[in-house]
Amino acid sequence: MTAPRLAVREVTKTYGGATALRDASIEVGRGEIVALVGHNGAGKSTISKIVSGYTRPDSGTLTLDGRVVELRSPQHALGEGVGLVPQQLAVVASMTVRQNLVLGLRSAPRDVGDVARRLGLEHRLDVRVADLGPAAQRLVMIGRTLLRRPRLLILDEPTAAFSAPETARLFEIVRGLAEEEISVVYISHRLEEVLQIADRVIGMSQGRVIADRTTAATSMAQLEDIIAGGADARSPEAEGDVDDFTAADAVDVTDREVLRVEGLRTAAKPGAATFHVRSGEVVGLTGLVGAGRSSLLNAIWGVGAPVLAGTVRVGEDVLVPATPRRAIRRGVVLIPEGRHRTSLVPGMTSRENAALPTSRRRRIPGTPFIDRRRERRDVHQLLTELDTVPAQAVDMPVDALSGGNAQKVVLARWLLMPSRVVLLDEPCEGVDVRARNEIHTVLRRLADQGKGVLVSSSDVEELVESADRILVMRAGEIVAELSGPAMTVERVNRACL
Amino acid sequence: MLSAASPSAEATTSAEPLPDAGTTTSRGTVLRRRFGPWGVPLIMLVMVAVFQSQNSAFLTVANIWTILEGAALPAMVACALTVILVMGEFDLSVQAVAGFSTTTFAALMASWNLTTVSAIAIMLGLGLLIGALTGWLVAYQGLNALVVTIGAASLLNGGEFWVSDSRSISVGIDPAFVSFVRSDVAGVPVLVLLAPVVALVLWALLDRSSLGRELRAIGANREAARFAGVNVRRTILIGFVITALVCTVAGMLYTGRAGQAYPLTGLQVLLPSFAACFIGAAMFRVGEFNIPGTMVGAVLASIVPNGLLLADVSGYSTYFFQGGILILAVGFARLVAGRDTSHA
Repeated sequence: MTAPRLAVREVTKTYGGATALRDASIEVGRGEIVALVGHNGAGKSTISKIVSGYTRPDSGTLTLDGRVVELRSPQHALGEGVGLVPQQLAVVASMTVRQNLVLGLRSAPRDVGDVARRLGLEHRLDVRVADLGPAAQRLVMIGRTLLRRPRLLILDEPTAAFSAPETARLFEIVRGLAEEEISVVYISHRLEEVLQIADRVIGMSQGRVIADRTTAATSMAQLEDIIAGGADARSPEAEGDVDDFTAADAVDVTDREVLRVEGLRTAAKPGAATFHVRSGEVVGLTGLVGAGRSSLLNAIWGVGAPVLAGTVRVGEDVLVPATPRRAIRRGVVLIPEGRHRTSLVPGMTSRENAALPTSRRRRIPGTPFIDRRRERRDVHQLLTELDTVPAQAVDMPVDALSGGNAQKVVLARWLLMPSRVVLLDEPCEGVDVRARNEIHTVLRRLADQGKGVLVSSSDVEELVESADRILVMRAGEIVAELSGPAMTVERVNRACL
Repeated sequence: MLSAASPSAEATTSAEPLPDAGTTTSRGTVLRRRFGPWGVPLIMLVMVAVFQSQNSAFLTVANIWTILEGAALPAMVACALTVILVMGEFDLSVQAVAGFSTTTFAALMASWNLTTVSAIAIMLGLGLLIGALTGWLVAYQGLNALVVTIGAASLLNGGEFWVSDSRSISVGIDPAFVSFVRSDVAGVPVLVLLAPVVALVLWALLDRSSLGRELRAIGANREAARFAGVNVRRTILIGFVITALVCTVAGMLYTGRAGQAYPLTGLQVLLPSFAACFIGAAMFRVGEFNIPGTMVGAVLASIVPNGLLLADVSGYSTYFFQGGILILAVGFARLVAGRDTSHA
């Protein structure tokens, strides 16, 4: 019997305190097409990064065609015959298809023509990639990997921007590869595609492999169970149809709407979002990666992809999204995703960071100068309320703080700003459990002050615990709303698909 | 502007939990933090000792005043440049703005027969206009600051010939203004008093005002400044205006100091002012451009030509020293900061 093309044995990987993979084992045969499915954070990306040399596992072994390998880098993995086509488009738009294909290769290989023919790009070799659609750009990325003659090809969400005929074309290509004994690992959220293309499905949840079965013996419903049930194995009583929307429980929520978004469509996603947030409630917003949550929140705040259609009302006032300053003036604040990129100013202290947007309000009257005593008092008080340790954090450079404390500085920044609506994008990203609980407490307190709180998170469990109501997003659209007893992790997960 | 690579690289990996930037500091970092800020004073001390050993006239009261007076106007320009560097932009037109101001100010008094006060007012207006124009091109049109300011510098150089009709202006400059600039107050040259005043104003602006806070935020993380509601474009424009105004003032004072004006013979400060800023970034607020550091850097940058002159080293060696010091300063600032915060 021949050895499998790829065997991953009992691989564990942790980032900081979070375990991304726990004793995961998978096998891929020669010429086999294996689909990897699971919810956000299930470990699909981590396993593909390990197999393609982007990260190294903490423990466990990797075997390629019966030989144990230790992959040091993506280049090394390519040399061993493993190629990853990542989810993000990475092409040089100003170069032609041919130039993109051979990019990084020392000499132009003779089979550029063959690869281009296989991908249906043979007549467009001298077209600039910028002039191609996203599907053709994806094919260019696949072609670039194929030129390295991989034995194992990993496709991460390859069809994200594909139409039905384009998907069918990709499937033909993938099947052709499989016939030549090139193995394919196919990562996708689109379950109908998984059933069509894969020979076998591996289901993952919270870093573990929870299912491994042939596609022929798997139905759509079973696939959904693997994904939803895996994340919520502890609540088997949660059964039923997510389409039965239940009215929100009356939990101290007034009927006064503080935010109403109608038909808001951005250039980033095809769908339009309609929803509202009432005074005194914490509303959760979730969806799979790429569902358009960040685009939506950023659009309201006036950054990111331009708004194409729709209206935003804050209380009685119309907000035409344009700049963060305008949103602030209307009483909307956003705690954005990715605090190192979008919030923290390195080299400044916590105090200076937290006071940045409100510094003009804290000027000594009649002068351009900041009342620093007042500033220190305000920030210190707020950081103490948020239980930030150590106590002298207020005068520490923000770069020296841990993730949880840094996030509290960002939180403090926007709590200092008077507001009616607080939007939060992944506020608990990369913070420890304690800080997470404190952040949830703060959200509740803000709602109790009569503000409307909208918190976006890919961690469904977190939202079910902390929100009054959960909105589910898909392709820029709010596709489901769950509240009360219907708001279980499983139902929310199902609604995401 | 030039350090934009690192945050975006971080953003692409945001799918997985970022390892917390905990409070762990390596021994190297501790050493750098503790001893790094003493590097520049130490170098200064060594230089003074060397120059003194070459010529005992170096450390005399008269020569110290000479050094400080020579440092005053370059220090003003360097402080102005600091404002631009703090917000992560570049300005290669500082010398040209000062030079244009020197010649035009002289021409306004000599050829147009304007009173000193109205000439000053017109110059301030012109400085504002120059700063607003470059600032607008950089901030609102998104043009590269390096290219815009090189272009502006060339235009201003040409402007000097145009306003002076390519002639040397020595008659018609208000003698009262000249003697004011050259005068002493209690034995201290007026320029040596004025430079710290300008520095103090700019320090207060950068370190104590909300505008300065915003300027610094733009320089350190422009994306975060935008998300924090800072009007990034307007603030950058204001930064360029402030810099151009200060350079204009320095240029006018140079008219008084020299008592004459000829195109392209004004303050020679482009290289020394950059050197001063980068030397300054290795002091006080280490790793960041700051006004007190720039002031020390400006003094250091003018000790060198003076000391070399007294040591009877041939004239062209100044070029080697100035260029060498600039590169050393950049390298040292980076070493002390331990990261690429020196924008180099």
